[in-house]
Amino acid sequence: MVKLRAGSKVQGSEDDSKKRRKIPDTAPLVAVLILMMVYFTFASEYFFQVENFKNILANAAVTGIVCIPSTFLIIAGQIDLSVGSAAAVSGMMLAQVVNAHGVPLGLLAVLVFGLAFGCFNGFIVTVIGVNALITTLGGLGFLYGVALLIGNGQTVGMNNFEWLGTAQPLNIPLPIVIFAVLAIIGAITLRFTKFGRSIYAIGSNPNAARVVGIRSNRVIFQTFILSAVASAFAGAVLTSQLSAGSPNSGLGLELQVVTAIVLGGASLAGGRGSIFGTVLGLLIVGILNNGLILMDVPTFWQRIAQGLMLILAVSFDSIRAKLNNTRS
Amino acid sequence: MKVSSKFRAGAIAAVAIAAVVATSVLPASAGQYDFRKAVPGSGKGITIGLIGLDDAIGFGKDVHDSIAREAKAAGAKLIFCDSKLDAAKALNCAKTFKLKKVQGYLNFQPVASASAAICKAGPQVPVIAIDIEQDPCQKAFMGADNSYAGEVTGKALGNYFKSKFNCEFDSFISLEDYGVGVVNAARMGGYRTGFESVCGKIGDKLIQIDAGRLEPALAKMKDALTTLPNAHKIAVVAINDEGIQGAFAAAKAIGRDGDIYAGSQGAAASAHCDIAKNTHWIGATAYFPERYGEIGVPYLLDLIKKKTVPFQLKIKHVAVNADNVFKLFPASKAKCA
Repeated sequence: MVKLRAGSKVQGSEDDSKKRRKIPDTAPLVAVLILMMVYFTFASEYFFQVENFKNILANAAVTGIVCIPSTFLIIAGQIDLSVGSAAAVSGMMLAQVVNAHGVPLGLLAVLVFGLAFGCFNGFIVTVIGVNALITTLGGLGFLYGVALLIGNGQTVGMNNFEWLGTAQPLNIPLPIVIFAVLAIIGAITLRFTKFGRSIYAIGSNPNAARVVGIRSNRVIFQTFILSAVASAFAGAVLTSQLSAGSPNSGLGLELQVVTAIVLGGASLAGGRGSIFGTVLGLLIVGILNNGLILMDVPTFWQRIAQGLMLILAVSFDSIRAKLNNTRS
Repeated sequence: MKVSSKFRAGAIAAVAIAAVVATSVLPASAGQYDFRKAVPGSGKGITIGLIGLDDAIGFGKDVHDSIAREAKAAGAKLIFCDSKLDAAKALNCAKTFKLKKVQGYLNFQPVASASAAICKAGPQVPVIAIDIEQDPCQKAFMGADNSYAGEVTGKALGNYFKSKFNCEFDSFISLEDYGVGVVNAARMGGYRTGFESVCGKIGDKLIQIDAGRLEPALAKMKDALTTLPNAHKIAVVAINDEGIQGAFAAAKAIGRDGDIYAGSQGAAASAHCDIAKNTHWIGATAYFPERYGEIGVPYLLDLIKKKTVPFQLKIKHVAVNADNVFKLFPASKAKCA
């Protein structure tokens, strides 16, 4: 018994030691982020300024709003590629309705659209059983057409609704505040609620999740609704920032979202990821984009650097995962 | 750039030809200005900005390069920021310009209705809009006269149909790009105005297709021709050269390239050989993006120095066809041999 206890103690202390030595999932990302910040601080006199950090965060906020529920989806082993087009449709609707009927109805239209489109995606994926990638890829094309249709191919100017995108309570741009609040809610939801734990369970092993009584389809359905509502809201924020709805405004948003989430350590196979990681991924992409512009790096090199950054960061993350597996 | 330098070096004759061709097609639109080289040293100690359209698009890159060239010639520091066709990125560019204290900037971002937000976010300095209105901060507007540009080749196409077919035509296919909004409306409307001024109403013979780029034009033009099996006199116009290149590729693939007669916008280097050799490519309107800097930079420096600058600084568009393409763009001749 004594030996066993002692052995257990030794075993326990080895486990503790391993735990201490285990590299946190987000550690490489934090390191990359800090290195980038140090580099850009020395590379450009304009980088380390409050105004510039506000710019970086305000730019990241719109993508970030979409990233929160999209992280849920990816952890659950799903994906939503229609977020950019949904944001475009929402922005076009908002501009049209605000101009004709005022802000409250405009926001209501955005909410109704988000709910309806989320239900549509959720229905096709969970009830009809179509793959989420295919469903939302179809949605991307379909909604882009709708966005063009709403404005007859034109952008639509919007009056008297700049506050959502440009207000600065306590000198902090409102989109940053909104994103921060959503990120905190998202992190708490994922970590401390039954809904959050269900998402991880579904992503890790859908069959096991079903066996233990998790209503997978319902959770996935709800997550698609959250994703569509967040996309619609992000479209509204963007439209408010620009005082205009453009059918092209959300183009490529889906790639930015997936990049940030995967960069943040989420697995496209499901079961792994966190809101903190996603926020780090967003910041890395945002700081890289900002730093390259401040340094006057030619556009083509910016694109190359952004692509390489993604590959390097994901590779780094894979190496970290392998190291952790080897040690355990 | 090579085209431009040869053009500048000794091409007084070419300029004369261009002017003659342009005026013979349509009277020049009001507000059109001659290119004007930046005076060396005129921008010394001045920082200017450029919000680009998208360097991944040939036209946008040509404009960027020409502005960079002229800024360098003037001795000004140019800060470039690419909007990548995205108003949100342009908004970020404006904030960056404020941070970097640019003294004036050229704005080629694509969403006119977002310009107020962009103006507000950027530094309160002189702004020249390129091709797309940038209210309320633009002090001048330079670039394409889209409606007039469409009209130039629309009329050339009408004249061709009049001389060849006595204005009989089976269909008028318009390859458009709804993504560029007002530019599309002005340019494509200009084609119709020009064509109708010679051959009368197009009416229900008009077919509008959202296929301004090469690939969609290639795919959709085949479909359009399939719906017109007995048509042999089809006018085709596109928002740029690419659209027409796609249309001809589509028509050729189904053995119908003899049925279409085309006009395009841009007269970019990539289209010169086709314009010269393809007898069914009736004409194209030249925009000279490789010379935009010769208007944008000197006039922006004037504005920064608080000199009076006319509001309209439009490019003098020129109708390009097989007869004059190598006179206007001599560098292309060797490439097309």
